[in-house]
This record gives sequence, C-alpha cells and structure tokens, in this order.
Amino acid sequence: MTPNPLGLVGLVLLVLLVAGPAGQAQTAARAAAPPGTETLIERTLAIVGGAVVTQSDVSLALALGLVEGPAAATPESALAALIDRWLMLNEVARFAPAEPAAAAVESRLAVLRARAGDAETITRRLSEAGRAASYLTAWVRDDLRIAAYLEQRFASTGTPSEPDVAAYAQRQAAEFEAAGLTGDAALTAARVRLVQERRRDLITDWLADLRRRTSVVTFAPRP
Amino acid sequence: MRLACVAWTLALVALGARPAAADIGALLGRRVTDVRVEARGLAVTDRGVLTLVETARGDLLTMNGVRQTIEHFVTLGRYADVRVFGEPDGEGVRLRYEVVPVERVTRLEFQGHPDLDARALRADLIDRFGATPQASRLPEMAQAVVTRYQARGYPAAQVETRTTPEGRDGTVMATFLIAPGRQTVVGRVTVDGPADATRGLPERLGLVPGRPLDADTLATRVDEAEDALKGDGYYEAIVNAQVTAAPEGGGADVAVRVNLGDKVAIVFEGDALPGDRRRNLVPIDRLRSVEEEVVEDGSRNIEQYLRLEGYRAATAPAARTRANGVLRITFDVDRGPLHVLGRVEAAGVAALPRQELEPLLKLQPGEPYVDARIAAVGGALVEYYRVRGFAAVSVLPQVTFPGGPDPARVPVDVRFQITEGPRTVVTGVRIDGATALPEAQLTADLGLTTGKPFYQPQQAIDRDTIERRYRNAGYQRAAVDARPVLNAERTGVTVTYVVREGPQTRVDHILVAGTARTSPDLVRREITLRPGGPLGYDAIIESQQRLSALGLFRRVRITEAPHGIDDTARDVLIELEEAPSTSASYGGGLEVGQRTRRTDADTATDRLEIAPRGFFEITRRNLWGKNRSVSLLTSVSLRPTDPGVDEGPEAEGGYGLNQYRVVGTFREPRAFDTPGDAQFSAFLERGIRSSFDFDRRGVRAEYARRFTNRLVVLGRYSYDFTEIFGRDIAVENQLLVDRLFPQVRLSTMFASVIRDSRDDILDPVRGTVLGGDLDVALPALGSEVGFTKGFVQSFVYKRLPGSRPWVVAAGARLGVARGFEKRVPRLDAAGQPVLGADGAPLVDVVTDLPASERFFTGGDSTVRGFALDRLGSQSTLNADGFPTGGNALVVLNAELRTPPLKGVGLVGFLDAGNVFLRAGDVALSELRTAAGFGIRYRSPLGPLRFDIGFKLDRRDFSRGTERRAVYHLSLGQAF
Repeated sequence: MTPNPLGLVGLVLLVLLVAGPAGQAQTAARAAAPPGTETLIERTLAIVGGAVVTQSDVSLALALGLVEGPAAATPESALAALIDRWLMLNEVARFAPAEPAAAAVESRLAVLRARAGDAETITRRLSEAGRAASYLTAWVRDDLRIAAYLEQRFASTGTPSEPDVAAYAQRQAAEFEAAGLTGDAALTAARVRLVQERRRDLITDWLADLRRRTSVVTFAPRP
Repeated sequence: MRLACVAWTLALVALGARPAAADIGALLGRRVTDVRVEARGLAVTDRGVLTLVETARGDLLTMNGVRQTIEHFVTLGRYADVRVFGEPDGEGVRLRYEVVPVERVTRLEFQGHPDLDARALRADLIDRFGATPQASRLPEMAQAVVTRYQARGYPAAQVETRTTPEGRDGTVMATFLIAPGRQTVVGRVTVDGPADATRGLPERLGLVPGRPLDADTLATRVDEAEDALKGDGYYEAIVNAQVTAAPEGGGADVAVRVNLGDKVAIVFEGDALPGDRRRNLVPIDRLRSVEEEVVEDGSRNIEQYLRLEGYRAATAPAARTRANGVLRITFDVDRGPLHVLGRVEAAGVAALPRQELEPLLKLQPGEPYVDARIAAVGGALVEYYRVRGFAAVSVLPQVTFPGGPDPARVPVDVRFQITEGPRTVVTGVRIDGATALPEAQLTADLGLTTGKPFYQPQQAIDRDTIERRYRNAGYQRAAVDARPVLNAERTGVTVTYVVREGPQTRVDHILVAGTARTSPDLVRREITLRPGGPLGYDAIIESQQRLSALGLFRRVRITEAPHGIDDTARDVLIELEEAPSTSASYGGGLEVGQRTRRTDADTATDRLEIAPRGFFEITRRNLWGKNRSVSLLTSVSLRPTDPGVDEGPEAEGGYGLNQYRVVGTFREPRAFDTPGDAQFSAFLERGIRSSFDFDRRGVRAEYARRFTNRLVVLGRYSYDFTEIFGRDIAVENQLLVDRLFPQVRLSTMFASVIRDSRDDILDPVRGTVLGGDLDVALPALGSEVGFTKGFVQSFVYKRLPGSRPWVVAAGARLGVARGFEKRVPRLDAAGQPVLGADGAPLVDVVTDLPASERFFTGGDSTVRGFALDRLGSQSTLNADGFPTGGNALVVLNAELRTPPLKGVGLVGFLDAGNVFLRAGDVALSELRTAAGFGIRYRSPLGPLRFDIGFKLDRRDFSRGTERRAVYHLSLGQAF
C-alpha cells in the first residue's frame, strides 16, 4: 500500500498541533499580534449545569495530562471528557461524600505531577490558563471523590452467573489461551472482565441519564 | 485517501479549538488600557454587568481575571457564549468581551397541520420545559411535539422550529412548523372474545375502518371498556387492542381481544364480621382485582382487625373455587377465643424508681390482649431507660396463660422482664481535627455533656449540630463522626467527634439577576451573605427569607455558582422575579356584633348589628428601586341607622355611614441608613364609640426598629384634629373638656416597646407578649390639651403537658393617664368673657383627657360579659349606662383552650376589668367580672370565634338592670 502524501502531511500537522503545545509555547516567538489585529484570548466551549468549560480548560487538560486514554486524543474528546467530569461532579456534590484522605491526595498528585512535567512547566501552564497552584490539588481531590462515589454506587453490579462466565470464557478463549489462562484461571479472568464490563455499561448509562437531566450547552464555532 | 481526510479534518478541528498560545502569552501581563463589553455589536452599559469585569482598566492582564469574568457573565444567566479578544495598544492591551445574550422563548406558535389542539401542545411544552425556556432547547421541544403527534397516529410527523425576536431583551417567539404527514387510519378490525362482552365493542372503541386511528384515544377507550367489565364483577377481564403497522398507504389492522374471566363472588364464612368493615378489610371490590396479593391482603387485614380486638389466634384463610362461570373467593373467619389481660407487671426494675415506670404500663386488667400493644409498651420502656443512659437495656415481654373458667375468654398474664444493664454517663466530650473553629464554639449547647446520661440518638443530634456549625462557617464538605469509647464497666463514655473540615468556601461575588426596577444594591443590603465572608447554609436561608419578606419579588432563588473547581470561593447567584410594582387589593365582609344604642326611653341597650364593610388599597412599591412605597387605603363600613340619634331621611331604617378611613402612606425601609423603617402618613377617618362618634384628620411620622426577631421599638409623632359628635350623653353630663373642646387639636409624641415571642400571631400555643406604650401630648408642640398616657400589657401562652395541645392563656392590661392643667376663659354666647362677682374673668380649669383619648373597655377582646365600651365604674358610666371613659384601665383575662377536633375547639374564660375616672381610683375590689365559653373554628381565614360572656355581678341602672349575657362573633383569638 502506497502512503498517501497528503495524509502524511495532515498527520504531521495533527501531531504538531495536538501533541506539541508545550514545545510550541516554548519556542514560539512571544510577539503580540500587530496593532489593529485582535487575538482570541479565551472563549466558552460548554456550559454544564452552570459550570463553564473554556478553551484554556481543554488546552490545560491536554497539556498536563489531566485527561487520559482516548479522551486525550483530540480537543473534542477532551472537551467531552471534561463535560462528563462536570456532570459527575454535580451529582457527587449532591451526596457530599467524605473528603478523601490527605495521603491519598498527595499520592495521586505526585503521579499527576510526574506525568505533567517539571514544576516550572506546570506553573507556567497553570498561569497561562488562569489557574492557581492549588488547581491540581483540587483536581485530584475531585478525582478521588468521583472514584469514591462510583465505587459506592456501582460496587454491587451483581455477580455474573456461571453460564454467563463460561460463555464469556468461551468467546474469549483465544485471547485467554494466548495469555496463558486456561481452565479455572480463564474462568476467573472472565468473571473479572464481566464484572468490569457490566460496571462500565452501568456508568455509561448513568452518564447518559445525567446528560438528559442536566442542561449541557456546547458552542459551535462562530465566525 | 480516507486517512488523509480524517487527518486533515482532525488537524483543522484541533487548529480551530487551540488558543493562539504565543499571541496570548504576549498579551498577558500587559496593562489593560480599555475594556469593552459588546452584545450583538453594541456596547453593554449596564453597570451590573460591567462591575463583573475582573480585568479592569489599569490592571495587568491575567488569564485568571479573564476566566473569572467569563464565569461571572455566564453565572448571571443573561449571557451564554462569551469570547474575549485582546489587541495590543502601545505597551498595553485593549480588551473586548463579546457576549451572546441568552435567548428565551416567551411565545409559542404552531403552524402547519392543525389536527392537534395548539393549546394542549403549548401546555405540554410549558409543563415540560418551563414558561420561558432557553432557545437552545428548541430541538428538544420539537422532538417532544413529534412524539406527541406520533402518539396520536402521525408516524411520519416532522417538526421544524424558527425563532423571531420579540423585543430587545433577548426574548423570542418560537414557531413550530409542523408537517404531520398522513394520519394512520383504521383498516381491518377483528374481535375475539365472548359475544356478550364484545357486542358493539369496536364502535365503543371508535374503531371504524377508514376513520383516523388515534393511539392515545384508543388506549383510553380500551381502559374504559375494561373498567366497564370489571364494574360488572368480572375482575379478571382484560381488553387488548393490537395495532399492526399500516402498510404503505393502507389502514392499520386492529385486533381486539377480550378475556372476560369468571364473575367474582366474595363469601365470608365462619365468625361474623361487621358488615361495614368487610369492604374496607377486603379490598377486592375496591381495587377490582383478584390478584393473589389482593386476596392475601384481605386475609391479613381480617386477622389484624380481629387481633386488635383481642382475638389473638384469629385466622381468615381465603380459598378460590370456580364453577359455572363464577370465581368464588371464600374467607373462612375463625376468631378463636378472646384473650384478655390478666396480671401486668414489670420485673427487674432496680435502678429507676418503679413509680416512674408505672405510667408507661398503660395496660388495664380485663382489656383485650393485643400483641402489638404489648410490644409498644415494651418499646416505650426501652426508650425510657435509654434516655436515662441505659444503652444496653432489654425488655422482654413474657406471656403466660393461667387458665380460666370460660374457654372463650382466655386470661393472659404479662410480665415485662427488664434487664437494665449499666447506666452509662458521659465522662467527657472531645473534638478531634478541629482547627478552623474553636472547640468551645463547637461544643456549646450540645445535648451530651459531661455528667449527663449517654443517649445515642442525642449523640447523633449533637454530631449534626457540629456539622451544621461548620456548614454555616462555609465548610461545606465538613464531615463529623461520633466515636463513643466506653470504659470497661460500661458506666462511662467519652464521646469524641472526629472532624474532617475540608476547605472553607467563601463568597466571591454576589450576582443579582432578574432585576429591572430594583436596585441590586438594595438586594445586597438585605442579604446576610457578604463578599469575602463564609458561604454558610443558614446565611443563604436567612437571605432568601429576607428577600421574600420585602414583598418585591414573586420568586427568589439563591444558588451557588460553580467557580471553576476552586472550592475556596463561590459566586452566589440571586435570581429574582420582580412582582408588579403597582398592586391593588380590595375586600368586603360583614361585621356582626352587639352595639350600644339608645332606646326610645333614652336608655342604653346592646343591640345585635350587622355592619357591611369593605376596603380598597392601591400600592406603588419599589419606588426608585429602593423598596420605598406609597399606598392609599380606603375603608368604609355601614351600620343600621339609629332613629334616636341619626337625623335625616336615612335615619328612617336602612344603613348609614358608620366608619370610614382614608390613609395615604409613604414607607421608607432602612430609613436614614439605619436598620429601622420610617413611615409618613396622612389620614382622614370617622369612627364610632358607644357614646359618641368622631371625625379625625391628621398626619403622622413613625420610625420602627426591630432589634431582634422578638423586640420592636417604635416612635411616632402625630398632629391631628378630632371632632366629637353624635353624643349619647346629655351636655350637662359631659365632662368639662368635652364641652369646651368638641373639636380638639392634638400634637402627640408616642413611644412603644414590644417583645413578642408567640409562636403564632393568630393562634398562639406558647410564648409571651410584653409591651409598654407612652403618649405625651404637649401644648408646647401645638396641642390644645396636654396629657400623658401610659399603657402596659402582658400576655402569656402555655401549652399544657400531654399529647393534645390544651393551652392556657392569660393576660393583663393596665393603662393610666393624667391631663395637664389647662385654664380656659369662660365665654358667653356672644363670645365675650364672663366676669365673676369680683369683676375678674371666670376661668375654667380642665384636667381631663379629651373623649377620644380616654380609656374605654368591654367587648370581644377585653371583658366579654360586656358589649363594646360598656364596662365602667360608677364614675365612668352615666345613669343611663353610657360610658364616658376614664383615666385608668385594668383588664385581666384567663382562658383555657381545648385542642381542636376537626378544626373546632372550645374555650372557657374568666375576664375582669374596669375603667376608672382617675388613676388613683383604681381598686381591684371594683373590678367587674365575667365568665363564659366560646367556640373556635379554624377557617381558611383564621380562627373564627364565637363567645358568650356572662356578667357575674349584674348592676342596676336608673332604667333597669344590665343584661346577663353578651355574645360576640369575630376573627382571631380574644388575646
């Protein structure tokens, strides 16, 4: 298959734009636009139950790795993840779960900082997004509150029946065998996977319900 | 190629969403030279909006300021999308906030196919989306309309919307363009079921081939048809209509199926049940259902009913039999023997005095034995012990059957075996983890303190109290755990409240939305929340109540607005819906009561009179947005004319003008930047007393300040003219002041202090009222007559112990007055001074108060054995029984109010009082007494009152003896 040069150019551009804000920010000339030329400094991208998600929120989440996995792929997926996070936080606030332990906050914060970069970079990025140094701590604390809430709410997703486990193990036999799991080990792995999948489905349904019940406004780009 | 498209698309999207980091960085830190907020290309000049900008001119530009400004704008609820642009301006930066106002739909129009009622559609949408939804919800609203059409037989309905601006305030009219498509019509109809049940059924269901098929209507009619069959006793009947989707262009086939089931008959066998109870106990007929649960409920209800009657072993199993198209449900009732209580005792009582427990053992030998009642008594004993610190107490009811001569009447002995366990006393209360609030503040007024018995529910209450104190200090996530630690003997416990404080949230900005006429400053002044202060729960509630109490708003809502994810500061959004600034009210009614009238024989008599009355008030509120108001109140009442007194044609029966009042008032809350309210009024009124009428006109200035929720202080100055007329007392019997000053000008200073802790103003159950007034009329300030008048009053309301609210109410009122000496030259008919024997002008010395200022008593709210003002001592009643009023007053009341039963309560009362000519004449032995009873009805207007008072010491006057009884009809309690 011959690579499409046009596609490659696009890919390169995409990588530069999405993955390289840090480098760009460091290397780009800090010249202001010439007089008479306006620069878009900030804008609303979404309002979730009254909470504002701005353009710099999305940029910051991507730059510091506050969103992970598929959510970190594009600004759109990051925005969707931030919207989901606000929906969950609004719900969590209704039930006021206990404050996470300080040690747990510190531990998670350390992981986040390690991922985000050196202290100087973190401080600069926070400042450019209009966030205080306590932002990361608050973010981590909210992460833990969400996790505690999900654990509490979706802990008992039900134990799958043995026929269900067996059928799942049968369907995934090739994968389990490749991983060296056979017999009871495969069944155990299948049981764990089933519970995880059911929990994920429940949370997905729950989030969809939250979206229906909460006012979520996203803004299309305006000229 | 697909890869290329995807990559370019993502790249362009990413490019569109990315901030121009380099350019922004160059602008940050520059000094702001100009800020402009624009909506639809026009500058926003609203000060309430501009004050929310956190990047003011002269500030250094920070993203934090930009972000906060955006959040404020969005929180305000007036703007949706916000964009911020910056432009270099020399060394500085010029900022432009571009805001898009929120569009709200205030009008809904429907165009296109009119098959469905537009009003119903509109009502549906308003019910679901609110009266003024945001225009951004129009797609959801359109989908709701589509769903509605589909339910009514339009499967291909399509709806589009468009908006038309209604005004400059962002309101729009939404037009729904409806293309309903073809309505499904009825195709082939088949009916399956018994002939009797299906005869004419398609027509009743509206299923006529070729006619439109409305799914909603069909479902309703199917339900009605099923109900009709159940009404005939076929409780198992099921009617079902299955619609098969219409082929393209054809009708939808409908298959109707009726499953009739058997007719149901309910039979009771065995012991008899009261006929009127059967239907309530067995809900089969009521629910038209023979489902197993319903039948089981019937059996269970019968058994419970009989067991509560003392038939401890009652059974009532139900059996079903089917024969000849009838389902027979038979309840076989077996009461068994009646169980009655024999001996009842409590064993194991050691730590508490036995006599303390006896009231709890409300069980009498011979009464029916009921398990539930025994359990309730056991529970009460446990609770009694636990409140006193016996946390581990157990109470085990032991039931024995000693046997008796009558097998149908089984005696049951009950012994409550009590195991008390140790009594646990609180040995210490500690707070762990509290750093923000002092321990003394957290533990103040807790229920569990050192030395008190340990009671777990109280511990929970105390825990909540501590948590609430944190919440009021802005610690919204504070969590408090109670950890009691018992000593080895379990006789002492140290309670530790472990606090996790969390962050304190403070108020950042207070945003006021929804005010067009009201000044936001007024709103901020009224509320107890302050920028920079803690965001406390009680402060939010108090603020909400204060704003509601202003009467300026239809709706008040205070919410916390998210402030990023920063927990330490929140904006507070106050959403208000202003009430109309002009309001008018009117009303009318009848006043029924006994009035003193002159008889043909010139004596005073009490006559029942019905006086129509009405009022009209118009108020303009919130003047200049400062909650100032101006109002005009007019009221008038008519009364039957008195041929003996009234003159003119209207005196021949019919009604004459009785009382009227016109008052214009200007009210200034928080006058002169103080917490008090000022009021200025001008008035014109006519009133009646029992022995004279009066006209009065004047002006008043008043200042009232509430120091606490209970304490109010009021000061007033009034300047008025009062003219007395329609006197029932002959001139020669009138006091000198009344003869000399038929019209009197008074300039009066008035002060009043009142402390009111009643729980309900109209119908108090507990609390007190303590008040004192002082009037001073000063000639130096223009008063023709000078006097000073004091009045103190006290009322006490106390609820008696017990489950039903018996209330004792008592009151005392004392008034004393003294006139300043005034010397008045005596004039003859020609207005010339009358000279005495020594040639000097004669002078009259006046020391009394004018009639309008003297004390009178008697009537429905003072001493109820007398008609209005008819009570007096010998020196304050003339020979005909007409009151002249006096300088001193004593009124004492005592009343016992029964708990209301179905809104009706009874009272018994004892009143005493009198009016004395001089303050020095007051003598308790001269008090006149009356006793009586009354009825209170809790009507929607308040307590409706009917009292009959009986004089306990009737007196004779020149023309006869006083009547014994006087009755009153009124609203509210007597005092």
